[in-house]
Amino acid sequence: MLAAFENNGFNGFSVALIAGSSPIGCIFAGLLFGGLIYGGQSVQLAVGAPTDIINIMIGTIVFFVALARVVTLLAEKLGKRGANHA
Amino acid sequence: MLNNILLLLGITLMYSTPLVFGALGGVISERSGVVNIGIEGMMTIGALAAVAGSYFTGNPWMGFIAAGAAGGLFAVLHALAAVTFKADQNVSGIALNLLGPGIALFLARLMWDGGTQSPTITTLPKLFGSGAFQGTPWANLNVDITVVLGLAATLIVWFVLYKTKWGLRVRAVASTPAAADTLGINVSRIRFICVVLSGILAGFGGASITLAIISQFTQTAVAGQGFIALAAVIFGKWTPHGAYGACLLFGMAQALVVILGGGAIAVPSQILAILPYALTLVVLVLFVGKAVAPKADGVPYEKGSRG
Repeated sequence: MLAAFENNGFNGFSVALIAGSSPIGCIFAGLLFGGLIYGGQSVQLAVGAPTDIINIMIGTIVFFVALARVVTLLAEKLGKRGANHA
Repeated sequence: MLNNILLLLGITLMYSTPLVFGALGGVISERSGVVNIGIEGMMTIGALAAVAGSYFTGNPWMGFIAAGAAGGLFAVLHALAAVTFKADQNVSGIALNLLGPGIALFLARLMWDGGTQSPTITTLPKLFGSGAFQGTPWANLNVDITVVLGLAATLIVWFVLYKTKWGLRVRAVASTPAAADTLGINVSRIRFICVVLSGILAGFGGASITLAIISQFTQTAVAGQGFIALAAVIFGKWTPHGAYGACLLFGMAQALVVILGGGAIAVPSQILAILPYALTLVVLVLFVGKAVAPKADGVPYEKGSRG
């Protein structure tokens, strides 16, 4: 029974983060996670990879969501540099 | 009676040690202004590295060092995201908590033929050597050597933070980064170093679970102790000595579970299982009072901004 609820709360956290705190986005982020977690259970049978690889994937996704702001920062910097040269 | 008291003391010290290391990691990171909720993930990585080190070299001290190194390396991820790229520190911490157990279990399956449970490994020695005071109640005080290391680490962190120039800079960076920056302190570098140090300490915390308490790596080795350590950081008001006291209290809650479970008084095991968590809640609500975090804790520092 305990295993059935394992990490669902925490995954909910990640879903909200990926959705960028938008309720509509949560539907799609939730679908993504559902697919990943469900797929994680069968990935072992299908290709012989350990199920834990799904946690690594989810972790990587969330990590790059955290880094998302970097893209806008970079764009700003590059934009400024372009303006200086002009 | 004496036997029971010493037993309680011994088990309290044993269970509080991983929390102490984890909490020190939290303290040093948050004292430099970086929120680190990834302690749990770092501890899991440390727990696995410790077992792997001890398993492949046969020397538990190598495992202990490997745990610190692995924890530190893993913390570089958080440092890169939170300090260098100024990402959201909570999100990055959550990512670490997801990645840590994922990587640890994945590697465990690779190393031990598909099982997440490692073979039993050589553990760190006891304080007075194995078998000292055998047969007397005092044998309960023959605690794991990690207990002493935890106390030493607490004293060192306290000394560095409050008695050295570098420690003053760390604390300045957490409260008024703009002022520190004006005076020529490299805010990003100090925060980066502190996050890596916190990973090393958290790695030691994981090691003191697997190398002293359970002598193998399992899926549930860490099981939320990183989060309890974070509660201890807040309970201890972001000071190393306060966090140490908080960890002793939480360790005692777990020790009570062991002793009451021993059967002297009949207590349902479900009630016992809630005890550490219930105690955490009660203490945090009733006794902590206002806990004030370092002023710029969790705020990425942009050079030139008025922090």
